[in-house]
Amino acid sequence: MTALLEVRDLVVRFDTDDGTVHAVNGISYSLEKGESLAIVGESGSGKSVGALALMGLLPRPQARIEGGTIHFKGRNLLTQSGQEWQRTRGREIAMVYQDPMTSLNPALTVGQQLSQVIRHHLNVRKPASRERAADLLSLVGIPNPRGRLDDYPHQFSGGQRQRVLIALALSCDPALLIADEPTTALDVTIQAQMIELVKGLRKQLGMAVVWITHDLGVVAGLVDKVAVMYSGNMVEQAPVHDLYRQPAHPYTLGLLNSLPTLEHGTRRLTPIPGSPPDPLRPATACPFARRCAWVVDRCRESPPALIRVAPQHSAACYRSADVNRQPAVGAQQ
Amino acid sequence: MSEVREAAEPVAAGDVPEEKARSLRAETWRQFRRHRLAVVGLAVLTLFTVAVIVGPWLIPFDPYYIDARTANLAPTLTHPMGTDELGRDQLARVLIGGRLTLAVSAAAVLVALIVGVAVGAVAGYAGGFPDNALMRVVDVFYALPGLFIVILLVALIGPTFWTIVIAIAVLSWMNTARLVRSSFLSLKEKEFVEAARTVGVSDARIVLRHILPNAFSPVIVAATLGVANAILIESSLSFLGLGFQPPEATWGGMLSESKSAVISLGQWWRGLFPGLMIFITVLSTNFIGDGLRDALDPRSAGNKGGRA
Amino acid sequence: MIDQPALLEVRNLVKHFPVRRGVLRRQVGAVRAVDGVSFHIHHRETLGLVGESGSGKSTLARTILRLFEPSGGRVIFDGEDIIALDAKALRRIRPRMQMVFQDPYASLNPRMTAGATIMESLQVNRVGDASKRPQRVRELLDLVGLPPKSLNRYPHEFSGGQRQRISIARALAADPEFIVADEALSALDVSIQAQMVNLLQDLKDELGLTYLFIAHDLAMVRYLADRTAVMYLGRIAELADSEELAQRPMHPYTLALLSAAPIPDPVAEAKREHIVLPGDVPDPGNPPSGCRFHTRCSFATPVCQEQEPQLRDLGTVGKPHLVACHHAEKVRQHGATASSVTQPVKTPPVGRPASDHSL
Repeated sequence: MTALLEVRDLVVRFDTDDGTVHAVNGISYSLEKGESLAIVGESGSGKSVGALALMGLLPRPQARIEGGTIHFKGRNLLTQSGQEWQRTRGREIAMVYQDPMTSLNPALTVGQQLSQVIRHHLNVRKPASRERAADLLSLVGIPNPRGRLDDYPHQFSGGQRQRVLIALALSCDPALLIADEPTTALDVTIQAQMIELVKGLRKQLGMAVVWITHDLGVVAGLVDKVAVMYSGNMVEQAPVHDLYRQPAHPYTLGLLNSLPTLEHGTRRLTPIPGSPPDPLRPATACPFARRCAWVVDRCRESPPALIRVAPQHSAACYRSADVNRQPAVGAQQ
Repeated sequence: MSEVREAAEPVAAGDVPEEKARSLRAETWRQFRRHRLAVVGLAVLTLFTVAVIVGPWLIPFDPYYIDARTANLAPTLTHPMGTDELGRDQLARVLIGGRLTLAVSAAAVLVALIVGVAVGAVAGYAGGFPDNALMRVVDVFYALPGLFIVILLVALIGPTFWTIVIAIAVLSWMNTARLVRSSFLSLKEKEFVEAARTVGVSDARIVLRHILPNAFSPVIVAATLGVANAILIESSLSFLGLGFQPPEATWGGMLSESKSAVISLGQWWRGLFPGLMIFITVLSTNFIGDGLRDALDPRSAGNKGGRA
Repeated sequence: MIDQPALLEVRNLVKHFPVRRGVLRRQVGAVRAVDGVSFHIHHRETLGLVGESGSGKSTLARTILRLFEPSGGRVIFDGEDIIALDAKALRRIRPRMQMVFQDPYASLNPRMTAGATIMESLQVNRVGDASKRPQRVRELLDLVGLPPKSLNRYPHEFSGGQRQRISIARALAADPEFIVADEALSALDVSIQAQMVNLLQDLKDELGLTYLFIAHDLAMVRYLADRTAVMYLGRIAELADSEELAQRPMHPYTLALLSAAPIPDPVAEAKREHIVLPGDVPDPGNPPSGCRFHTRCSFATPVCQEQEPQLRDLGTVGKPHLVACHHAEKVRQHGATASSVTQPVKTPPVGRPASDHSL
């Protein structure tokens, strides 16, 4: 059986005034039907670029897809015509963005925006599309959905707007939902609502989810597997339990150590020293080498490839076995 | 484990860019140079400025010397732009007229800039009543029948250099004031201004050091475009006979003098050359303005890197 | 610590922003951003202040520093009521209270080099001898962990974390005793946040600073702050020792915040109780009657709609635990039985290369 989504060796470059930015350097991952994956990375890691490539939303003409394939349900999206791709996206792959205010048209009612999309993709009549729009609003937990169809985006609160966006994304029963930092702009309690909502919807609708975030904490209870990106490279990929308990890449470990924990005053945080490398310089070494406490000569000579360290668990590190052997989360339980 | 190295870097802020720091001015210049038309515009304008300053000394004709023998000549090698009905060399007049035209425009823009920046800065920074009052003044100036005021000014004081400068400035300072005000309104809410206040920086210094330099890019762009506007206003004043009086030459004035010659006598060179000068100068300053706008835009300089 | 007078005392502070409408700009109402807040901060103490957008935490910070004029109440800094000070006296006291802002991209003048920014703070506050100031700028850069070559660089040449360091250096240049950090870490990447937390801790120890640390993230606050105050719609909902607050929350809102804080551990995450608050934070221009939290509270009873709960002390002797909830006892009990609401004690993955241990 083929995977729902299979990204292989995707390479994306950006041409800027200062040179070529190596935004994504050959990332690969796959997703089964109904599975959920978190792509975790800090700013500049290229985590969003990969998703935008998937949606065909990379900024033109600066961005170039230099190589790789993206197979969705067995079809290579990158060789599809613009029209075919457009049909795939929106109907079968949908995306939720970070900023709920700028992603909705302020001049149209929420009902209009929803039924527009429904009519466009599903070819149904107006009354039926309105019906479906109300159903969607109720699905995402907006009280009195029928009454709110005629409200404009500004009449919704921030959290509700994000719900409307999710409704918009769900309007065509997509097989895959991409959520690009959908909770970053939201308050903590609203973020918790969104996470619960997406969790519930996934169970209910059986769709696959790619959740892009900078926060390892948020996705721990949310996804099946996690991919960690650093400086345009995928440095580790693992089922969620393995990643948090047995991280095999020093960067993942560093991220986990950077998170504040509970034993107050007993310990300092262990930050990762330094900052990410300049994306303008192509990597001739492991991109993390200069910040890594585990670095050996070899790391500076050639970049390590993603290799398997356990079933379904791979890391791009020469010393992943040493890193992996460290006591990790919950080892003391 | 001998192969393990200590982390060479201290647990610190990481890398400050290694290459030599580019100053903001250098960065702006670099951005400006990427705008080819703007560079051409700058070159042309520089050439014109140099030409009108040194040109009159280099050519063998006096722009005011009347000589009936050479009247109404079409362009030749001796008179590349021909002569007028009084036998004056057109090239000499274009050069000497360019002095006045460019000087008047530059002075008018400067005056408009000073008034506009002052009014806009006070209105924007103070807010409240001063803001309301000053903005109503701006509205009044927009509503004034401009030409009428100018005629009044010229009629009362006479068409001297400064009257015309003031006349042009009076018609054009309001845009700058509005621009500066809106920049100030948004900049004074910026965190770096709040930070300066927390540190204890005085209001005057906040305005001069923190807000004004950041409000200046739209102003500089507006000023460049203002030069073009000033040339056009001066031309129309001269065209209406309200500008500098003969035998003084300006490009607009020459154009105005040429109208009967061009229409009834078909002496195309009379209108073409001063007109061309105005056209090229206005176009050049517009290009420079465009180039500056792009170069001074903080999104193009520095703040790179977009989304992750 | 208790016998010493507090460095900062805030008494019943109120800040309302008028809402004006119409051509005549008549006041039709007020956003009650800060609505009667009292607390104190001791010398060398860090008070954490947690709240969501609309809670008024940033307004509170700016009103304390008198960047906003308060609508009522008093702010007593080192024995002086700074609300009563005139402009001149205020300028004298300002350097002693500094602020680090949220947005590292907006809080530095893009047209001033790092050196000039820090130098300005030294100059306007007349710190030290003019001839020694360049040296002092270099010392400050070093103190916040920036290399000397940063001196002549412009903000756009720095990363977010580095810019935040410059902001801190600028604040320190005034030689303050008290620093307000208004969401100073929120905009930074996780790995950089940890660097900054350590920096702030070090500076506090080294220079004997007192912090008001504002955040929306309880986990980070718990890490840095000695005591923590939780704000909701312009009022303090709960204030206690940070550990106590995290272990024994007595306000339903604190309970929800704790439950919403993500745990980077899938097993613990799956085991604990998730309290998801319904709805959004109400409009601070029109807060709910009675207890402002009752519209989202699962403990609410009719009394909550009618009576605004006052802060009361449910702590032990010497360890006050203030909470503004009619049902605080019930909430405490709930928190105790469902202990998994708060973060379970776990050992984080402290991996280091083996060689480090032998060193």
